[in-house]
Amino acid sequence: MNIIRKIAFIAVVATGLTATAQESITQRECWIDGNIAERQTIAEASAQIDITALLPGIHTFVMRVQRSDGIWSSPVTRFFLKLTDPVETTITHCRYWFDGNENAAVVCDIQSNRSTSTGVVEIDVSDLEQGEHTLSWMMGNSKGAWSQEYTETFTIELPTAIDTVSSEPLDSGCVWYNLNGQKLNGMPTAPGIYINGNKKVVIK
Amino acid sequence: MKKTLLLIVLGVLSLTMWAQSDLRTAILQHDGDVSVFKGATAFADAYAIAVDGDVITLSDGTFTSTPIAKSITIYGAGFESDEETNTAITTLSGDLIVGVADATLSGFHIEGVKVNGRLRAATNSSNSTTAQLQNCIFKKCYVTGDFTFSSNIENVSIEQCLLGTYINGTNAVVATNLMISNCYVTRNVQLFNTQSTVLLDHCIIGWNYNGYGNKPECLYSAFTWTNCIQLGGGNWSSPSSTGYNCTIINCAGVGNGGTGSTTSNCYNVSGGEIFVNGGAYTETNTFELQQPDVWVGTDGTPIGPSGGIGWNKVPCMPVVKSLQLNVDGKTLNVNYEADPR
Repeated sequence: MNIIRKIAFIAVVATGLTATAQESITQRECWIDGNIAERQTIAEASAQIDITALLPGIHTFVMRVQRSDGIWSSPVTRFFLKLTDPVETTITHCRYWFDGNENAAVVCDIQSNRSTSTGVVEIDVSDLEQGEHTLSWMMGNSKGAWSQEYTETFTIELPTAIDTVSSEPLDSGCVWYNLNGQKLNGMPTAPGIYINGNKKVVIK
Repeated sequence: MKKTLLLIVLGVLSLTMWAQSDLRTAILQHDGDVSVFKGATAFADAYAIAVDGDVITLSDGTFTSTPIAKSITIYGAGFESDEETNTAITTLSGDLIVGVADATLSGFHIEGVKVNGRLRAATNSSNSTTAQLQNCIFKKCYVTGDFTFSSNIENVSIEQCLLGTYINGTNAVVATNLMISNCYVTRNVQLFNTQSTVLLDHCIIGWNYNGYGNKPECLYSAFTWTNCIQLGGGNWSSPSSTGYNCTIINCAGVGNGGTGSTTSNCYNVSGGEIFVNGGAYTETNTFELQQPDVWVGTDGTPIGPSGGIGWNKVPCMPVVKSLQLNVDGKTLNVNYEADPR
């Protein structure tokens, strides 16, 4: 093989796959979690990929580019973390007890279910005797956390005298009490003086 | 909150360490179809279903090697890490055997790969003259062990490669048009049949072949050396045998061409003395000559790997130079930079 043929051989072989200066990036592909079947084309030097369908956690992102001569780059892999979607926190429960007796605490489901709770909770105190009591309570949210304990003092007073007798129609929807402050099961039939709503009532 | 954040960071770190191995990716391109394989065996898995004409692109990382008997193209990320050129390392662990006994593998191409072992062509049965490899290219690769041809080859090119030991055949191997260009051969090139045509151009040939002194040794064969540099300081061929008929043109390195050889326009200067940064291989050595206008090759460029097509270890494929991800709620923002090279 003479020198000229040798040099020609060199030129042909050595320049076989050398990219020219005119080559450019013509295609960009990416896929997530190895799912190349659903790979996406990235059009520009930056892209926004919708990851709504991904579960929270760590995922892989792979990307490669193709040159105008059809040759692809080596794939490049990166990790990214998708956080749990934020959920609105609401007040969902309350827990209360009387006179320090936390063992008898009652948990109630609050219908307010609002992010800020300013609602009213009706608590039945009919079983409490006349006098001063404490009410302790805690508020719970949708994430299962409880507030600190709050305590208030209140007094149950029952009427000791009959000031007036009302002739107005009876409010059958209100609770009936005797003069001892004891709650009755409905409208009494025995003659006597009772409390109904905010009225003193005489039943003959 | 702080406790929760710390747990997340630790979780990410542990998963990152576990998942480092899964960053190894082999992509098999079959016409318009793409398949992805991950892990240490990704290259072997991709090769298993590849057919002639397919392309396997490897990410950086270490992959288990597998014998090659298909006419495919293999691209790796490179054989040395270089941030400036965005080159990483793709390693094939173990010997790489190319070809099938008594059959011709034609059109195989491998580029940008470090073979952590030997690279060997398959061996034909005795008396077979079948060209084992034909029209094959080994480019920008680093072979840590020997690069050996055990059977005839035809039109094989080894370009811009780093050879950790030597390139050789046997005195029975006919290498027709074996082209070795712009390579750093740590030891020597040797042992091809006298009917071979072996051309070494713009190469550095080392020395220290055990027990044989300092020589590149075109033993048994008629090599043509153009624009090469010999570091060893010995003869270009073994003086103890005949029939070498080497042709040595515009080369540097003291010593004669050996029996039957001719030299022309060679530079009587020690190969180790003509470099700016010495002749030893380092990742940063570009083998620039102290006098590039004096030690000129047949093509008008400096002799050695810095001339001709140059000493360029960067694979030819395009590259993703940078890639940043940012999660914003339900959107993944992707910013990247790519180079067509």
